[in-house]
Amino acid sequence: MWRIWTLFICIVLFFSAIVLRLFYWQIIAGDSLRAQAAAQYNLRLIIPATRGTIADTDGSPFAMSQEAYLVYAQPKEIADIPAFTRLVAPILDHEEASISAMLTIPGRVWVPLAHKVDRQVVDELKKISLTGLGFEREAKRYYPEASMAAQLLGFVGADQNGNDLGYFGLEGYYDRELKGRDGNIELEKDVQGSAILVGDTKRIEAEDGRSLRLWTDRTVQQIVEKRLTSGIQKYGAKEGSVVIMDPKTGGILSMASHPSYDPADFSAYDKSLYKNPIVASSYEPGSTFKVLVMSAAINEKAVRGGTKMNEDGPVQVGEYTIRTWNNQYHGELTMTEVIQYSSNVGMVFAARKLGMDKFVRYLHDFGIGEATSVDLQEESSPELRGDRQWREIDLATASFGQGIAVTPIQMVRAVAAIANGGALMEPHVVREIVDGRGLPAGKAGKTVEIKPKKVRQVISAETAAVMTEMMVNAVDRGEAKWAKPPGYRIAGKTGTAQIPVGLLINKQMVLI
Amino acid sequence: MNILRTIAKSIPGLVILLIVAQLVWSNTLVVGGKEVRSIDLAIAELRQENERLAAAVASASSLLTVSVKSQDMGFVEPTKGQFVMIGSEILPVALARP
Repeated sequence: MWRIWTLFICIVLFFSAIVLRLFYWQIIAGDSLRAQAAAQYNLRLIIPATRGTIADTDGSPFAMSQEAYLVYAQPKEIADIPAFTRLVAPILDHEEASISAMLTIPGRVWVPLAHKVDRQVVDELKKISLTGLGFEREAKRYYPEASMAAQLLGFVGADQNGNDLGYFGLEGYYDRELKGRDGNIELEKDVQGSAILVGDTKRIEAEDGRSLRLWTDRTVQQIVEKRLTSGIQKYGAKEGSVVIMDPKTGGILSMASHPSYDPADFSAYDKSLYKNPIVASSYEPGSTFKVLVMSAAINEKAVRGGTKMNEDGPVQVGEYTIRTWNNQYHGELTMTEVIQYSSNVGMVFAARKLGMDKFVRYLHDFGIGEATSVDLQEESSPELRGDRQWREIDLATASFGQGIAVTPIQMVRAVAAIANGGALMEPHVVREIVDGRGLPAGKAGKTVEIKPKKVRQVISAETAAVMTEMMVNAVDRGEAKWAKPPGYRIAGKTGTAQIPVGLLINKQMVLI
Repeated sequence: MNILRTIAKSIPGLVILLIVAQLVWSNTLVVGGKEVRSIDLAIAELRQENERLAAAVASASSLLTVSVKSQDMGFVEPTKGQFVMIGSEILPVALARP
């Protein structure tokens, strides 16, 4: 009887061992074994997605994807590392010591030597046919117009995992739309690595990134950048910016700043140049701000173009004395002449007529102190002081654009409202997004138009027309009439703000 | 009885025939797999070629290239513009549209 029991227990133990082992292989180690098995009999090919193109208003590309390669080494397959390094380093333009150091780290089986390498360099490397040297396709950004509109476009760098990531400007703002999603083909392979036709095949198509078509015109952009650079050189200025916006749509036709950088070689430039100063830096608008305050006063019928005031000397506001910019006084002036002579004293008169509460309300309505929602990543807005923190002297100085900070894009948008019958528009760089997602790579999909967005009506169309004529008069008869090109009728206002740090002078001009 | 014997005698031949058929079929599949692979590679190569050509077109038609070529061909920028006033002298403000 004990023999039967012994045999029974042995059988039970034997089957228990089998069950436990099977439990380990199938449940505990199942996933990793399946992955190992799949790696043996599956062939996985990556189909890289192409990053979308950024094109100007007529479809000419500012930025597009170009073929490039990752060059890597497999140290265990390299017979003579010093000889390998001597041959590869000069072609890749790397130091021999740095490549050698990477290849001699113990235990490394795969070493990336260089990213985004041009095809010509890869062809040169292929000619020397070294064992242990490999290439993998990856894309890099190409800029046919070189550094044109660099701060508008932004650049493509790498994230923490080495994947492409857009930074600043359009590349940063629209990164998710532009980058797309890599696809892959997974199929069964035979012992030689060739695909088996009747085996299981999984194919996930690459989804190309969406492409952007801008409002920006490359010809206008080129002219603007050229004139800006020559103007800065001529007057010895430190920096300068120009924005051209279509007041009807809010479309940015051109946006340029100097100094700038080359997005294809961004790492060679100071990081402070990456941010677009037109949307990310603030300044004191000076006399250009007068057109906003005067518009508000006319709209509220506090003054009219012909309303007269006496500019017979400085005006006293509490303990402060406010003078004109050149300390010259013209006696009796109409509001049109206040703008023409850019009279600070006249603006204090208009602002007092308007009143504190309405003045602050119009600042908000013109979008001062709030981000414009322009489609550029680095936009910021200087804070406006609280509605209850305004004192009489603040009202007086802000009436001629001092003691208040704006970004250039805020100022352009606010003045564009005057050119647009009083309607404040949301500025936009992108006009259309061409959607290639969900389609095979290379095929264009539907186009999504970004419609112009009216934010609010700030002043009436009549007020806008009156203000425009006052600005035309300022250009024709004002301080900067020498700068007016013949054959054009231009509405505009100049401005100067003195910055008490090293006696910097900030000159601006808004034109319609 | 004779039928069973005949069947038994033909089994080795049948097995050989099936083995040959299996070899031919496997060979066909391997060849087909290679063709699929080569077609995939050709598609990828064509796609790369397209990208290269698109970049070449963009480079050749860029304003940078156009301005250099136009200077080489002797084109110069106008130094002094001439303005002709037609009709009313009261012109619309630049950019104003109905």
